[in-house]
Amino acid sequence: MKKITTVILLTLLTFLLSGCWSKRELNELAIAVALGVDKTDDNYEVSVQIVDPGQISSKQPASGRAPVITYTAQGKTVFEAIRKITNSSPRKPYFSHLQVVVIGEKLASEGIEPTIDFLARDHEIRNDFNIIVANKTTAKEVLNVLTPIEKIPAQKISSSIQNSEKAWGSTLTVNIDDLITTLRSNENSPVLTAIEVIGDPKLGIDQTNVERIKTPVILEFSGLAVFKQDKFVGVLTDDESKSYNFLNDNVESTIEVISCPKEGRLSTEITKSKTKIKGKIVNGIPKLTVHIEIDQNVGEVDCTINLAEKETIQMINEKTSNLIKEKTEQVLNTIQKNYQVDNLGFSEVLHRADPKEWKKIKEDWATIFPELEVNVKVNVRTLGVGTIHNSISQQSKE
Amino acid sequence: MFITLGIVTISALIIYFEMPQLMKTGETKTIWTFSILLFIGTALSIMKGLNVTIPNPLDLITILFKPFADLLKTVLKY
Amino acid sequence: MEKQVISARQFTIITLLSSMGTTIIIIPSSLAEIVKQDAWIAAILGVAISLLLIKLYITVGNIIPSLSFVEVNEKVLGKFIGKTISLAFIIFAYLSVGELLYFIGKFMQTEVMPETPTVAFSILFMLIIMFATYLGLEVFARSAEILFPVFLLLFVIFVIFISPDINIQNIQPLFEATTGSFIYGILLFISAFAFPSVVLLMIFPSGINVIKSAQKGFYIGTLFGGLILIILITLSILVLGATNTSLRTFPSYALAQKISIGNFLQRIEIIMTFMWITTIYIRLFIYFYATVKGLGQLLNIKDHRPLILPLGMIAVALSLIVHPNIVHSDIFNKEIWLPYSSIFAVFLPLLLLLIAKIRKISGKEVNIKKQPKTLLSEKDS
Repeated sequence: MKKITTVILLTLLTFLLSGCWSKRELNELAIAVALGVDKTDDNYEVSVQIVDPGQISSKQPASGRAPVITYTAQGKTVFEAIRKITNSSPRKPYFSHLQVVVIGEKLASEGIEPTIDFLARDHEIRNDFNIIVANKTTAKEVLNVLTPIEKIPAQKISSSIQNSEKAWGSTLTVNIDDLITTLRSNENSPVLTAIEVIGDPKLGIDQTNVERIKTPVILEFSGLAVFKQDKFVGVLTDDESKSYNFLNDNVESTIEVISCPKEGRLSTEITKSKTKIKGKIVNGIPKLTVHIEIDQNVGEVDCTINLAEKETIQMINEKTSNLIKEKTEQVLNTIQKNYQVDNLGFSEVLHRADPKEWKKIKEDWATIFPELEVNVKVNVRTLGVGTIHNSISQQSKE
Repeated sequence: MFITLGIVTISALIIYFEMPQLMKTGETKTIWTFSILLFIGTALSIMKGLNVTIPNPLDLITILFKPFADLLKTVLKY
Repeated sequence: MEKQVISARQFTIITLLSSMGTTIIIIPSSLAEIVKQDAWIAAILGVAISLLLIKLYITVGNIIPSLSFVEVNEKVLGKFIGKTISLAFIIFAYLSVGELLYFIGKFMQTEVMPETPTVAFSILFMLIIMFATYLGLEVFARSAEILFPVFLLLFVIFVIFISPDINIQNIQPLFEATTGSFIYGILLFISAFAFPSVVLLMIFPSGINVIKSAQKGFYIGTLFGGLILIILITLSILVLGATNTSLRTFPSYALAQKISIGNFLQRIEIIMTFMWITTIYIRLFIYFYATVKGLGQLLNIKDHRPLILPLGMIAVALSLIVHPNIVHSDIFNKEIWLPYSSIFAVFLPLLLLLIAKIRKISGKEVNIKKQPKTLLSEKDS
């Protein structure tokens, strides 16, 4: 008898296990994959890209409805605007699957800290999404573009920024934890990847955008956005962004094009890149040295050189290293003289190298940084030349 | 309203289940302690259910010990 | 109820899990706020000094090994003073019960189920604790034994999976915090980690079968509990960085959120929460058991069990009273807890030792002098 009672009691207990106080059934959730925040006059305008699960599922055929819907609302703060979305959305947005947060250019110029506070404080929003800035457009426009191949545009943005970071090196994935650490320090400023809408935005909201072989409207990354503290001040060009990533040890693989001694160009594929920044403070004056170690292969030869000679490889090494050194010094110049913001973490390097001395010069960092002496040393090794020796054009001439 | 009723019901149930046994043992001390505690518990719970602000014993402790905490702060300068 | 006896190993496990308690969730944040990236150093020193404190507790426990802390109070300080101080001690433990209940409710509500009122968690948790107290120390010790391997497994998984995200630069520069900050950080750590262990004197060594192993167990439990805390704090700094650790209310939860292996093992922080719930459960039981047992011994009541239900009811009400909001709780734990708990965790034991020495009270003498009475009171406790 006791056994049966125990079993019955245990079975009854399992009914409590699933719990139903704070339950939200799947069909009550509006899964938000992207969040866009803009500023219009004094109000925040929030755009949420919500997935239509029926259109994404592989089992049911697509019925011509868009795979994602954008809902917009305005409010005095981001939080208020998000709640107001329930006025138009059939369900309350659920943010735990957020892939990307887009911050409009105007809002970014005024400061992103209030938005970031909301993203950090809310318990539903996790820390594994990317944050980007809309360049020359609003976040709303960015979220209103349907993308081919990836049904969910937020997914496209997210994978695109990661792939580009790995294969080309002019973008940067920034998550909220990194952003908060940078924003909280007085000497550092963050950078975010900037995204642009290429083409007429009005055409992007339609399925016709993805029904053609040449998509009229595409989302493209256009370099890194430079911030002063939390205010957006400018964009680095694609090339400059790549050099920035060299300085920040963020390059995994990219291409460099050098010019051959006589005429023509040669492309090298960088397979490995490691940057070490060392700093020291001598007599109250900080000095930094940047060491970049690069491994590369020859990727494409468009000139007449003999790749079989040792000297050629050495020449390629030298030329690439000079080129990268030049480009990094250039971007350093831009950042130091034009923007005058430390977004390379130099302050942290010095802080770690010599905490006592750093404390003394910390206050004057804003004036020290533009004049900071930075030595760039690049060491390039060419390890391979691809699957053929000399280029075809070379062979044919011999 | 319902909360008060609920709490009173729970107290009644507690008395129902515990009292007969207690009466049997005849330990007056236990019975008295039990009753006083149960009364305090019911009263506090009902007051909280009705959102009455009850003085917080930790506040008293805070008043007592704040001087030490401040002393520590100034001495260690953290 | 007959005398409950647990084994030394069970006591070790209880000490290990109880010493972590809520410390594991909130200390990384407070510590990182004060000493920034040197929090791990403060933790290591804190654990080392805590072992000295444990020695103090063991010595106090040895005054009269067969009696619990409340009873020892009476014997050493005399009936009137002893009982008054015991009452204060019981209230100390009881208020902490309220605090812990508030805390577990707030934690679950903030991170997991925001629409659920805090009191719902408090009530559910209290029901378990009440049931455990009713069943007695032995049953509880066995439940701790069962939970412990699960806890350990989760912890190892946690450490392994979060390691890829370590950024060694986050811990540099070393030793940047000022001496004053270090001292306060260490004191804060000890107050959250070791001070609550004084309540264990209610079951140590009176409730343990072999005293020598129990003493070893006290040390080992505290040491390994501290080790786990050190690892956690270090990981928190290495992965999240000092800024994020001090910013978050519950940095350990944020740390668990970061686990992402191969894009499929993600979002498992709720499984990690099981770890925290376990440590809170153990500590909460110890506090509540101490309260109930202590009150029973104070009033010389034979069976403490009828008191469980009313005390549990008041505890739930307490959880609603002690902290009106999380900020109050934060400030209390950062500033007031240290001096307040040191009275019961440091000064009281020292006082007992002193008086016991003066009055030359020891376990043997008490037995010889008051043999008939002692035998009876042993039976009852």
